[in-house]
Amino acid sequence: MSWRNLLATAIEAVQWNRMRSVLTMLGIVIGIAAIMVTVGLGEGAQAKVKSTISALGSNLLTVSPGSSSSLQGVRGGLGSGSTLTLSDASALSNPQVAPAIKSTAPIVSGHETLTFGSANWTTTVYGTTPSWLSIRSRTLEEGRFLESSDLKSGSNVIVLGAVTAQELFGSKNALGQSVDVGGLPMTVVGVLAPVGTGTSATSNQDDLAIVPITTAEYSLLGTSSNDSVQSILIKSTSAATLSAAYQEADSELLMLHGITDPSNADFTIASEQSLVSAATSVSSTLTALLGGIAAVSLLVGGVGVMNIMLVSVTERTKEIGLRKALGATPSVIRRQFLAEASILGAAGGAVGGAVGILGQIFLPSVIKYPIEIPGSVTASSILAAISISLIFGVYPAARAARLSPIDALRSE
Amino acid sequence: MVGDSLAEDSVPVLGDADVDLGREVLLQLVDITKVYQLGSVRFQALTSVSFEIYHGEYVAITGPSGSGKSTLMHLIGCLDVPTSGQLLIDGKDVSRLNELELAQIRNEQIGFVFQQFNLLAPLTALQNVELPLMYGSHTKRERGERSLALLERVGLADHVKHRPNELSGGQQQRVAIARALVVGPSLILADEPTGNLDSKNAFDVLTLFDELHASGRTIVVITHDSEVASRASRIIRIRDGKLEPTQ
Ligand SMILES: Nc1ncnc2c1ncn2[C@@H]1O[C@H](COP(=O)(O)OP(=O)(O)OP(=O)(O)O)[C@@H](O)[C@H]1O
Ligand SMILES: [Mg+2]
Repeated sequence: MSWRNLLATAIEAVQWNRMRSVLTMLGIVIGIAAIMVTVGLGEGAQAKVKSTISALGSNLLTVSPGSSSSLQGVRGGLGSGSTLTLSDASALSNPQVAPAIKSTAPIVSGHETLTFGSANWTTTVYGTTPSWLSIRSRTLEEGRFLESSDLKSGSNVIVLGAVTAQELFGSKNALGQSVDVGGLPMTVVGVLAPVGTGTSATSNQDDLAIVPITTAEYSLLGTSSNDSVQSILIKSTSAATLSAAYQEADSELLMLHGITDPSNADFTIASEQSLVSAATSVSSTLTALLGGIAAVSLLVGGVGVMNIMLVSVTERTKEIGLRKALGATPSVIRRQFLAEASILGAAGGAVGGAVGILGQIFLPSVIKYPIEIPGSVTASSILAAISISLIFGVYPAARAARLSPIDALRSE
Repeated sequence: MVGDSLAEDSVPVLGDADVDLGREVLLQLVDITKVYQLGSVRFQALTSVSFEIYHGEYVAITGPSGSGKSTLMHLIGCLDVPTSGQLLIDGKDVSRLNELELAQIRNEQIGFVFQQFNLLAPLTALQNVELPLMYGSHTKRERGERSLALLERVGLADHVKHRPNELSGGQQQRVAIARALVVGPSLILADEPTGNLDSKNAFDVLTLFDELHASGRTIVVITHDSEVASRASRIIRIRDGKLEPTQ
């Protein structure tokens, strides 16, 4: 019997027992839809984490003091002789030394209470350089950012985050006002544009204050060694040169610090990528777990297919006997039942896939959580449905093929 | 009938004297025995059955219920194999063939007609007639043409698209006869073909068999109805799994 005739025969049988076929498919439909939605939830969570982290700035490396390999943990730190210095930062921003590095921004920070009139607000105050703005991919709502003249003179100017400005000034214009920062009066020269959509991860990026690093070191945060910094942000010239920038920063800092053995490095360079992979590895573990649970439901669907197929073989004993009497060989009978099982699987998979895609479209607005189902997942789910049905169809098909034609014909 | 009767009938009894020597033997049974083994219980359904059927013959096999008629039909129809003895179709021994080879013989050489018609409910009359051709190697066109011609032959040209539940019992049996004829088998094998029909429809079916016989077909009808048997040109009687000598 040709494959086309076999398939046509199987489709006829599936259509003839329409109600039963639909019920059989139901298990597969639920299994496939469950897998797609859970995988979609996992993918959605990963995409969300990625976009949150890349909102922090692109092509970014962060140098922090202390070795990641050292067992004693982070050595040094602010005020206790951090191993990173302002001159490290300026050396790295020299294009002759490190052509892949576009700019660097040294950072010191501390918590301070800002006071304006009767309003006061505690926030993180960062001391940095003018390049911070472009490295962090930030823009200004109004006024200006730090300038190199501010840095040279160590002037008392401050740029506020949108939330900070709102808390201190409300609807009043902040520009030109003087705020008291830990006892030091500072003039507000600019307000940053908000980045966040209001989610918790980004809102604290709008609650901060920026001052020149020189002002921070000498007057504000009171560091003991007036040259050390907490961290250095590095922006590479492009995403493609990120690893080159990493190499250049690594070797230049080793040289500046006089370290010959890289395993003794007193600093750590982390990329945005490593943050992303750390965050996504958590969510992909969760996805795998949920997906596994959903896969079990698909397996249960497969057992359902086997169950119904066995019933169907028993019910159609007479038909099988007749087909054998008319010349069907055992292998033709077996293939007919396997074809029926895979048609049920394919149809169940397709309907399940459609349900999954509908879920992707309509669920996020209900559960307030993104669902992203890649096309490859849809395709492989349908393949999985067919294979599961085929696997669970093997035993019923073998039973059908083994039936003796006389026993089959005799049955009433 | 079990055990002790074995010795009595060791000499094979030939079915008939009215043998046309000019015709060739289609079917030859030599000392056929069939034993059913049900767990520890042995049941001997056929004992030393031997006879021949010639090309173009119309033979009825009759006997009381439980005498072994259907058992014999299953062996002749290659649905089962004998416990001992030989069964030759056109001189070829089929009693020791495997399942695949038996399936091919059933498909090409034998046309079955059953008491319960045994049409497939999802299929139309035409598709039911085509079914045996599906298990051979025939083109779609060939299948359609042959099946249509046979439905016309049995007088159902207007019912090609009907499904079994839209046909009367007599019409269903005629579809089944068309299906039995479609591969052009050497033998039409019918087990109680009129058992489920009223006398009018039974008459029509028997008339159809007469016509097929007249056109040269070999027909074996199994029945316990003497009226049906009387249509045949020769009657083989069976009782307790053994042939009865002919009168
Ligand atoms: N598969 C089987 N296993 C055991 N015994 C069987 C089997 N098939 C038939 N028999 C027995 O063999 C004997 C002959 O059965 P068979 O069906 O050939 O009778 P029959 O002549 O066709 O009867 P009827 O006219 O009622 O159809 C019966 O006694 C029956 O019980
Ligand atoms: Mg019988």
